[in-house]
Amino acid sequence: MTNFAYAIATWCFLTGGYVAQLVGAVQGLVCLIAGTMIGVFLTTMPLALGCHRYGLEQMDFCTPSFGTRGIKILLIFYLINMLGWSGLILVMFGNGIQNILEALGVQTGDWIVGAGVALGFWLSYLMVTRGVHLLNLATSIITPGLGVLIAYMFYVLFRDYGWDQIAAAQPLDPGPDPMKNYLICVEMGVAGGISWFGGVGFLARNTRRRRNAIYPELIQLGFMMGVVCSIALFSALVIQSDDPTEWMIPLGGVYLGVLALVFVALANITSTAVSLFASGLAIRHVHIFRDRKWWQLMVILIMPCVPFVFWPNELYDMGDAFLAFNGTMYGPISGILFADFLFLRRQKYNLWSIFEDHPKGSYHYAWGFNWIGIGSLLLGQAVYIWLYNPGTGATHALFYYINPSIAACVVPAVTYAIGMKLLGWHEKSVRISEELRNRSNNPVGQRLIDPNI
Amino acid sequence: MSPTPDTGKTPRELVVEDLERRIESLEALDDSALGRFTTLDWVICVVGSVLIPAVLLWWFA
Repeated sequence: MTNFAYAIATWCFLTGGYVAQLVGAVQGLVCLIAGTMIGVFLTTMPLALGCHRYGLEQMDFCTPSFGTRGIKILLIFYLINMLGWSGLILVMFGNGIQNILEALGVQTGDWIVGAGVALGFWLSYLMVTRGVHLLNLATSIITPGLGVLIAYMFYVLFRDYGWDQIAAAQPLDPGPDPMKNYLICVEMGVAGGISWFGGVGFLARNTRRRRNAIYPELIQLGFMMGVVCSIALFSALVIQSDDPTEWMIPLGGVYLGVLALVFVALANITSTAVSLFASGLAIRHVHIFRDRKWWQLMVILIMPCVPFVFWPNELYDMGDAFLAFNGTMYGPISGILFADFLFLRRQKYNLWSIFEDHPKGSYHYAWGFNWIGIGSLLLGQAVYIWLYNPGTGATHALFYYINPSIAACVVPAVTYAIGMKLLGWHEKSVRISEELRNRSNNPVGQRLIDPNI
Repeated sequence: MSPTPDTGKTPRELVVEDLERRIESLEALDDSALGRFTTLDWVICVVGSVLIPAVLLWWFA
């Protein structure tokens, strides 16, 4: 249930809208479903298996690959991803408020969007500081409602327009090269799937059985996300707008459209609250934040999102580049985790070592950084941008043959595996850990634990 | 931080003890208690999540 709520979060609407800019319904459908499934597979397999087995959240799980201090670098990427998406969907929340008011005959200015963002962050703050049970309650209400909404949109699209009209609808603003447009949409699908990195561990650690940690994520975060994105794609194509809040009223009429907008608004708040919660857990890896009160952490996390209040639509228009940018961050990390957890260490991590705060700890490496992991991560980002620069839209000739996210996943995986094998770091870690454990049983010795719970 | 009155330990010490208990519990847990994820599961996941989607992407390019 939690997987589905997260999966059909309104960032699926955003993604579908972005794809509608470039390709039509058939190609878009394939890009979104197939691309998302590949991306989810790459990020889910090592994360879900490992976080489920060891009860870890994703940042701690990255410690063996990046070092006890190296994961702080990943934390920056992680927070950019979580908070960036939260800002974008709250701009949608603000747009939704504007559209609801205008549908009810109330004239507003653009300022209402920024005000909506501020209101959205405040409501999310209230939800996340009142306890996890409130999040669970919210998702248990919102999820069925969103499911009904998605099904209703699907029904109305085919009732009022039919497949022929949907398939014939032209993309909103395609580039001159149809193949490049298609491949960029493939990349949006793959990067969108890989973007689930921020939530996979958090979801998997709450399941009992291994298969429950994997299949629901592949099916719901992967396939279902693709389906929801596709419904958004079809809506954008027939309404000829990439703004999800502009689809509801034309599709459902005034009353149902307003109701749908209200539900989408609530879903936006819930998704933002989940993202803030997960971000709060992650930021406690940094010592200065560890002993902060929970509400203080939430305020600290919301502060960088203030630009979304003042420049909501400008930042919203950069959302497709942000989506692709996520591929530069999580593609390499996913590849390195694949190589490390599944191949080098055969799904065996040392839990003590993940939390040991000692210079001779197994995952301390050199000054707390696994330079092989970090170097491979940077190489992966360079490979991605060399193939496709999401900021400028520039592509290399090889972009037509190699997907950037997959390349950014495979190349670091290979360099990481070779580097770790050559230095033998993955084997050395087991021996040092045993040494430390024996030392801790000695009355003179002391085990140092650096918890983040 | 000052120790709690009941235990005489600081909150951080209590957190460390809790973490150590959890780690011991998780390390003692046998893999079989968490269910299986076999070669067949891997084949299903690779075929369903990678191969078939890749073929579809190539077909519709």
